[in-house]
Amino acid sequence: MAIGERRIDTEDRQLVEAAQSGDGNAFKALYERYRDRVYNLSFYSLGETLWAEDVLQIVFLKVFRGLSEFRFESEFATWIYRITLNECRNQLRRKPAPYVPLEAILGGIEESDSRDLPDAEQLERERRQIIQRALMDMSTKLRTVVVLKYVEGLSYDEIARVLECAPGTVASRLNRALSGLEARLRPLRRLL
Amino acid sequence: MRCWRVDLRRKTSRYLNGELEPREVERIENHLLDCGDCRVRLTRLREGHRLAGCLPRETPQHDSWLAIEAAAEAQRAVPPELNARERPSRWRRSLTLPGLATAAVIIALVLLGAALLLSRESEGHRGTELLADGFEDLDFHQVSIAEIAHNTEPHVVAEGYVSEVRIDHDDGDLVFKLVEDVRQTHPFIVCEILNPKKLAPPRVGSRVRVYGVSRYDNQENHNWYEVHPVLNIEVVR
Repeated sequence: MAIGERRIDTEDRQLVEAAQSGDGNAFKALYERYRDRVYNLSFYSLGETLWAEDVLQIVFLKVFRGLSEFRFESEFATWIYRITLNECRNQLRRKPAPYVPLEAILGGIEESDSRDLPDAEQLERERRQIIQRALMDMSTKLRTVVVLKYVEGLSYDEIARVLECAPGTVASRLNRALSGLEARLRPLRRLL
Repeated sequence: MRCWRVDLRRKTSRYLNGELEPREVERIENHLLDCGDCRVRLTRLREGHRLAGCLPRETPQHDSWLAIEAAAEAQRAVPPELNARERPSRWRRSLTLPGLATAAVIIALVLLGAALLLSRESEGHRGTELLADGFEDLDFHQVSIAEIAHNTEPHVVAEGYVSEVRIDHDDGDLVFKLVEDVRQTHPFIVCEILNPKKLAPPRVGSRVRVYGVSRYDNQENHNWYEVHPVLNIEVVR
């Protein structure tokens, strides 16, 4: 574990202990530290902003309810990521995410060709959106490892702890996800 | 020719992410010198790695803290035995479908019984009823049922008639519908009580003021505005 990570873990521990003893400000500090991470993982799992915001609220309410039983057997980050993924799975079981075929994205690019040339910022945004949609086209399992690795910046071992699987499984899922992403976006390689 | 060194192939993404020991890096690089198949594969994974590195970090458009805080305040009053409902996954794994149905019926009967008992107890004192802890400290924004869609405040108070009371089959919560006119089904607000022991559901047909957290339920077949959780109910008449 890097020094920076150890510091974060220590700060988390202090905040969790304070929140466990009823300190509302400590719970709010935990919310502020983890809000974006929980939202980000929910968004990439569910694919809808409002739905992800709903899950964000549910996750923090579950954290609030379960905090008194949290015994630091795992890191707080690992625990909250697990709660988030479980909640997303529950939500998807009740309501499957809409399927967005890659053709829809390719169609969107053709349409935009007839418009005025967009500025660099707009191009960059569209580029990221295309990559994002290609990822959303993959299975939730593959999507999750990509988001935990490339957006959340977790190591293979940390991802394995969140997903409760072997680091080798994380590695093989990432291999499949990366080659899948490359294959899906190969026709657009010059644009991306 | 296809490479059969599965042990090395599996580590390619770890190699790209710089998460291998120097000894393993050396083994992979030595292998790459001799294996065209793995070089092609590495080129593709490197492109996937580059694309994945461009994925944007998403941030929520609204701050949910006030809603979470209000719901947490309401939860402080929930006794531990009701919190058991918050661990459905373990139950779900161990119960079969008929078992689940039986459990749902038992839970529904227990909740309805508790709700009816409390509703009888509360009939004697109308007006301000059961309060969640910290309720008095919150500032509630008055909204009409028809205009709740325009509300931006987290804590609201809405007045209307109770048109129906039932148990939500999805999560076992007690819900009631609030309408402006008892003869009309629309517009309405769905109000959810998380703790029926602490907060009795109002009687159908009664006019009440409902205090709680405003939210929009965008689940399939829902898409309605809610007061969830309900923090207090005042019976007007």
